[in-house]
Amino acid sequence: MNETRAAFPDLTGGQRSSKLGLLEIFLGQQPRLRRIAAGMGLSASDVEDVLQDVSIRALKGPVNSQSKEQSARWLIRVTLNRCLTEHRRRRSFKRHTGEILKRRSQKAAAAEPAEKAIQAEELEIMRRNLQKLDDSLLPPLVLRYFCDLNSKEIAEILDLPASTVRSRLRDARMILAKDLLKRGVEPQ
Amino acid sequence: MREYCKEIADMLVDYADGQLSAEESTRVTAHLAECDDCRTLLNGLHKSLELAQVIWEDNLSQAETIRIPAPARTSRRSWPRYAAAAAILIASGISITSLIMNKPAKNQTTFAEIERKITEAGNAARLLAAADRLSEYPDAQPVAKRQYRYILDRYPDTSAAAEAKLRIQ
Repeated sequence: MNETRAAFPDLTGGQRSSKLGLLEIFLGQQPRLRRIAAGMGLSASDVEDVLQDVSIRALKGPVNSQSKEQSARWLIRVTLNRCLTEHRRRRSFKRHTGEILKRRSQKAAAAEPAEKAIQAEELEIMRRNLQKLDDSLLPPLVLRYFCDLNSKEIAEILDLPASTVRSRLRDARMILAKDLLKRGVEPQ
Repeated sequence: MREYCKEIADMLVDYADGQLSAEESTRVTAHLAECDDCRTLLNGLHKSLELAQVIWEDNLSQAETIRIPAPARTSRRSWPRYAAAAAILIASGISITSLIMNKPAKNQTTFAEIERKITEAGNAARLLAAADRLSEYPDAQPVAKRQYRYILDRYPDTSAAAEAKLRIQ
């Protein structure tokens, strides 16, 4: 038996298949996990670090007797918790609004200068609002409106009643909308 | 805001998301036709979501440029790797702190800078440990090498980067 094999006596039989199964689930979920981390406002390099961490956590994760769906939910929860740490440290949504507009103008036909100025102000308000949004409100918001999960799925991931998820979604949307209006942004 | 408007406002998010029953939806629509405040609030809900999606999509387009982390495999005897990573981290912390403490006053480094350097040293050490674990498998060695190069590129001033450089050579 070579040294590597000797170092991995547990990677045979049932446990091996479950561990590799979790890794496969991680790989399958990776686009979604990346989307979640991006939605939580992390920079590209922080997203990379988070995914690296989650891949390592996937190796040590509670895989015994978990279904594929449960494992996927667990991976999403781990990713969200890791992102929340960055959000609490206010390291989320730090990308300068000017960069966002620059990239958008490169993608589509350039907007009129006046319209651009308004967009920059609106985006900046929204960026700050997302950055200061409460820990309990941002994850459901991202999962619902950026990852297209329904309230029931979000409730299972966050281990909350579906009614609480719906209530938090309403609160988050109202906070963002009202703040935008309060600052005089024309909603039309 | 009138009492009835408050009642309608509680339903506006679900209305905007198409989650209300037909009866409730009709009730909200009828109210919106005659209430400017609630209509403005509804438009604010649409507008804020639209802006949030612009920010999210931009973030995602940047995040998609990163390479996919390879799945590492676990080891019961991985503690020597972690010990090595911890040693690098401690050594980095001591050397950075020492360097900072011995700097002339006019070049004083801020605490934010110290924190950033220690965080970078920690990240680099952690990534190095993960890459080392990957490199134990012949089929994962190209990926591990990419990881080493990444550490070298992103955290060039850390001890882990020096280790990564040695692993590549």
